[in-house]
Amino acid sequence: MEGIVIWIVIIAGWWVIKSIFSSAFGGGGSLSNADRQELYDKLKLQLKVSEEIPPKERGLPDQKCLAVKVKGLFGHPTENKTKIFLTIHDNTELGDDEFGPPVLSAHPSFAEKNNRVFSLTTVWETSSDTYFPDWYNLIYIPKELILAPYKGRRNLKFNFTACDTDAEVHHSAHDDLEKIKYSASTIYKFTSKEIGYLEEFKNRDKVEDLTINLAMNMAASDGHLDQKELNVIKDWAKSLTLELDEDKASEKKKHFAKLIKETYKIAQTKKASISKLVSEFNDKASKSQKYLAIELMLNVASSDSKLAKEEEQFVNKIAKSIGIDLQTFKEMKNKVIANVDKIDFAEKPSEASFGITDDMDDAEKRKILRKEYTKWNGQTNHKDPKKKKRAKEMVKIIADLRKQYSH
Amino acid sequence: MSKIIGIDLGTTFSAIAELDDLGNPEMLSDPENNNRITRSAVYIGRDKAIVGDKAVDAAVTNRNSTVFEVKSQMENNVVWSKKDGEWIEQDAKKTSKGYTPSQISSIILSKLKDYTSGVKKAVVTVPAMFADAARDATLDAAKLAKLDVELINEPTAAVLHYANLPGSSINGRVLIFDLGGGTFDITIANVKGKKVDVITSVGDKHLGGRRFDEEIINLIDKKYKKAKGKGLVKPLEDESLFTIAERIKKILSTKDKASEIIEGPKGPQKIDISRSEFENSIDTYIEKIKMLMEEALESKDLKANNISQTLLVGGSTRMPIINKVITKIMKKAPVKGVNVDEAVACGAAIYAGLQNKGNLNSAQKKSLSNVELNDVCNYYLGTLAIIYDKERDMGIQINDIVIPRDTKLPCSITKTYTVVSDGQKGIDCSVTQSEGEEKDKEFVNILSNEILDLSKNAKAGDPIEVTYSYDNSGKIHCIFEDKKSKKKHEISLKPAGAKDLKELKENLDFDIE
Ligand SMILES: Nc1ncnc2c1ncn2[C@@H]1O[C@H](COP(=O)(O)OP(=O)(O)O)[C@@H](O)[C@H]1O
Repeated sequence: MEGIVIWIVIIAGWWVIKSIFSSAFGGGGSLSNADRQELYDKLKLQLKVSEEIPPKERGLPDQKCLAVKVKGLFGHPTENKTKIFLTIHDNTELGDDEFGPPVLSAHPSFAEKNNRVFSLTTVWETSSDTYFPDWYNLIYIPKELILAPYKGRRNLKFNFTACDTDAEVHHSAHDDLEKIKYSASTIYKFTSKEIGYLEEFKNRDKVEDLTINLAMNMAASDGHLDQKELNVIKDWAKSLTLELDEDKASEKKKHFAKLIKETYKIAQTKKASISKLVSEFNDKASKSQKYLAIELMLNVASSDSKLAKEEEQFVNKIAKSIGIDLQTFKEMKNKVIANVDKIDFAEKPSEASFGITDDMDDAEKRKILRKEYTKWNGQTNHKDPKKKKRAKEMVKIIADLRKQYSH
Repeated sequence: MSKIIGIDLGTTFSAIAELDDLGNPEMLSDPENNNRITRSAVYIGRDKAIVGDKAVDAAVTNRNSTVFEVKSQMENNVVWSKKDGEWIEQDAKKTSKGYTPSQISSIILSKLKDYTSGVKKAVVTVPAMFADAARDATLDAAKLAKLDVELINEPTAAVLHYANLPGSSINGRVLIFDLGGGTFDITIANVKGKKVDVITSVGDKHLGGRRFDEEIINLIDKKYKKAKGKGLVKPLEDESLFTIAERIKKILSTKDKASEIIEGPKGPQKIDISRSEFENSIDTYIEKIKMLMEEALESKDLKANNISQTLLVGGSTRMPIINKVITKIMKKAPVKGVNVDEAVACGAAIYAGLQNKGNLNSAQKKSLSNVELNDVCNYYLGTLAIIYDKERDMGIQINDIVIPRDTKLPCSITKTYTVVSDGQKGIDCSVTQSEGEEKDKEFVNILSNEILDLSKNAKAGDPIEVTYSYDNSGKIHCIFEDKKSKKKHEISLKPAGAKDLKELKENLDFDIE
């Protein structure tokens, strides 16, 4: 499953932190105050961000990351420990001195406790004169990990602070500014390919409607829209109202009832412009909303205990055009296949549904089919008799398909 | 002194071997007819049961009382109904009268153990990819046959035998190709002298000679219909047709064509079947065989030229097409001139010797002194955990592997997980098993699912240590430990036979012939 990767992050090693007076200047007691001031100015804390592939020894995947680098003095002036924070803000609509909405992290190891706001913090043992003499790679952040509030080109403000050890940050804001001893920031231009989390919030109603609309059309794609399929969609719509307060919920329920009725009529006549629906959905929905929609469609497809060819083709097409990860999609679909009572055997899963395309040569096709075979063959030991039976059927279908490429 | 016995409890044929005084495995034969292999067919009469060829004969007139291929049902919760002449699925709501697969198998075991006297302990072989439930059922069958039994995987037994053949030239990395009556296994192992290290096993539990017989019956049916205008009546339920089909199949292993007179609803008809017709009819199975061979090699990053020899096991490897397929993929013909029907039982006897060193005489001890066997875990063992799925942008429950497949046994592996949220009440201690490297919970078997209560002040990020140990006898021991409170939850799993003897014995009271 490509979608799941745990990123391991290494934070600064001690050896790079030097003490100004002991090493850089060989005992600094003799400096005058003026010299010292000049030195501190030179040692001003600075931050910079650039796109880089992490060096091998960091043990990170071989792909572009945002390398966050610091340089200069940051050791707490009076304590022997310093707590540091890195926060990221979307400052696209704001001046550089302000702090825009925070970005979120796609992985908990980069998030604040109990929420998903990006945050990185650690405590270092330091002395008042601890500094980074050269640009030090504080951290490599995989780009997909950063979830900006809006889609498109954003000005992200990276903010590094060195603070008292009891300093805290919530939603990227310091509780007490007095506790910040040093800080540095920089702006990085970042392109966010996905709908942002604030947009998601704004678009939510529209995306829900579009999802229902798509699901209705999917249900009708095999020529009839039956009650079971309708029930799956209704249940899904209902689940969206559960967390709302009473008034809002009843309003929303009414809205959904009307929407389902309307889309029902149009879907039945097959007059809806699917491509227009999909492109609007694609524009407005976030990644997770896209997966939720696909999941709904797959549930609809399997609700009558069989997966019809038209239905399969319909979801396949949509999955492709909304740009979700096709491997993840295939896994979601396999789950449906394992659970339905019947695959229409007149309409066996096609080569396309195993991810085979015309431009592949026979060896590639054989390999893909072998992987699928291995997967389903492993399921022929499943405790659930239904899944076991399905697995045996799939194994046969795959071997049958593969024969033609085997010489 | 108790005897050192190995039993190959096969889908279509079974065999028993004993370690002789010099420490060499020796096949025991049915005193009645001197056959060294016995048909795994069981006829259940009113007060007696018949095993072997005579049971096959009985099937022609009494199909409903004769059970074939009981092995393929070992993993299922079914009973053989004499009334219906078929396996009936059992569920909590409805239990039908009949005989369980364990009971039928126990009849075969009882028959085999009577080829000699004084057998109390034995090693019984099972396909490498046999499910846990099937292993349990096999142990139940042994209990019923009053045998103290240990299990060994069939291809492992076979390679143990080959490595121990006097003057054996088997050496290096070998591939054992085991195609019998009902199952197909491939094992890759390292052989150095008499030391055998298994590297991996893959298999298909529903592929073997009996399936090929079915395809021949389908061909016969088609041809009969073409000649006479009407097809045969329920041909796949007619055991006499299976006998004919098997005969045709065996002839086609040496000749290009076979002919038989077939009796049908429109009278007798001579039917010819050519080797190429037969081979075409089983091409889907052949494709599966190719895929499994490629998979076995690729999963261990091996190429054909990294394998020094291919060893054959099982009666169906006598088919010429098998030789062709192997030669094509391995770029070298398989090793010839070994007894493919007996290797498994002989290897099991050798393993029985290894397991009972205290019981051996000095010649036997000497003979087995350099023999060593290291097996691997045939499954992935894992646990369920929550992970943040970056692609879908949501938290999902996944199956996380603790012991990977093909890990050398015995082994013990520890992984650290963390508590998800502050104030969390407990940890879900689930043990999962899968043949493939599955992330999805839907696709794994959950062997056990229990709760470890956390202390009141549990915090997100608190470490939970999970240790799985797996020993040579297939025993799995799992410990889930909350490092903060030092509280532990332990789970022990061992295939040991699922049921107690009294329950097993129900309505089983036969003389065995
Ligand atoms: N000469 C042959 N040609 C083709 N198949 C054969 C031949 N001899 C035996 N077989 C087949 O081998 C199978 C039995 O093999 P065996 O290894 O005894 O299987 P198992 O242990 O699974 O019962 C039967 O299906 C039988 O028809």
